[in-house]
Amino acid sequence: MSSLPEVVQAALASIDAARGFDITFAGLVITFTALGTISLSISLLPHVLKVVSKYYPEKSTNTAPKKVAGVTEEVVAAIGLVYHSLKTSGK
Amino acid sequence: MDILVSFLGTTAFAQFSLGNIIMLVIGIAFIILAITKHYEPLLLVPIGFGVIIGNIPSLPSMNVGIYDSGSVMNYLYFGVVKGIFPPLIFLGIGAMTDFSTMISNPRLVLLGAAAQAGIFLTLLGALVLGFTPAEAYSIGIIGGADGPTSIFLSSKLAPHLLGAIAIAAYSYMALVPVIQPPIMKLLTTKKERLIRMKPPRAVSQREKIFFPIIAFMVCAMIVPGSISLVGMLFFGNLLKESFVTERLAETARTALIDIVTIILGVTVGASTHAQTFLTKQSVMIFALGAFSFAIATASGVLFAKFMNLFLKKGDKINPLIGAAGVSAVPDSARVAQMMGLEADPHNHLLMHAMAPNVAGVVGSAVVAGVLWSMFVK
Repeated sequence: MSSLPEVVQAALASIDAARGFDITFAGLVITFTALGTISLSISLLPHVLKVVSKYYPEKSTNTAPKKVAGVTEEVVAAIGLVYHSLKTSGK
Repeated sequence: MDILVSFLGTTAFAQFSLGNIIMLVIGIAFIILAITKHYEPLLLVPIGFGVIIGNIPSLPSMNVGIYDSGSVMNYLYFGVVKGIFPPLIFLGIGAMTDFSTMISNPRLVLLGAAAQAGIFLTLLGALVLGFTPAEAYSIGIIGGADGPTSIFLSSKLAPHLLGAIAIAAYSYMALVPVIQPPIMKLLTTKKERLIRMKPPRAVSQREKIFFPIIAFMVCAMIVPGSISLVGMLFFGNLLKESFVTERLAETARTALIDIVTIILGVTVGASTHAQTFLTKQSVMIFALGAFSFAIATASGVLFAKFMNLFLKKGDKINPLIGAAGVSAVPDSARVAQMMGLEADPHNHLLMHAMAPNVAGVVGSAVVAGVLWSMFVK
């Protein structure tokens, strides 16, 4: 310590006085632990859900309406355009 | 005539100082930058106008200033001072965030943790410059690149620095596209920037529903100080993903977050009175804020390179996405995408970068909880 320039010594002393290095180390360990645990949990989640799905199969979340005879994709696109225009024009 | 003369004494002209003029220029500059350069306009326009509001001097007996007890602005500022607005903003962010990319590639969560090193190294810098520990913690959190989190922590630990810290945090968030690219380029080789990552896997709806509940419980158990921020973030996300509360999710991500952003922006801006804002301390906070952003970016990139040492060929991470670990959603992810396209016009990194980006939001809220916990006995 004594071989370091005075400015550096003063800087290290002010960090040390507030236990800055300890807090930095502890803070980083806690942050990595929290996010690491989240990471681990979401890695395991698909495996847990696989087991759950055996007993409670997941329902389809496809909310798209069923096709109606006679309504082509062009008609759907035109309805979409009109709806979007009305929404964005504030009418 | 004497009525006119006495009225002139009450006008702002009679009480104007050079500091007020400087602050008005800063406020106008924010507005111009937001409108012409599109730098975070939703934040810089309210903050810029708030700066103008806060620097039109008035007589203290008029009770119109933000620090005048009982004034309208003072009531609005209450939500900032008491840390009410940041969790509400987190609710809206949760309701608009898609965590799929993070769920599909869990290891990228660690990049969000690595980027938080900027907070802790800046904290050390602030201690060296003579700030008290509470002030140093509040300044360090600027490196989380998360305005609401910065406001939340400084309102708890150093309310007298709230204005400078909030303005620094939001200003640097707006400057992410300027600050990050040179650091990212400096720390990566051309070969690394060309790394192509596997496309994310499809995530089931059930995973999306379980994720906010599990992630909240993990964070809250380890860092209870982060409950209000992380709790609202994941609650908002559950509203979005459950599909049965669409109305609530819609309100949280549109009307609610907009209302809170308006009030928060304008009051934070108005809190920057020249007399309290134009100080040596503010200059140091701005310098430390820039340092903080740079270190956070570098930490994310370097940690991605470190992870690559242990990953098989074909599984490697493009280190550019490490920079997205500083939250600043979605700007830092966009920067990673832009830098990736610069190296290879067909390499789209946006989806991959969103994973560390949203992990960074969680990470900075966790760090805020950790730092707050250090002060609460």
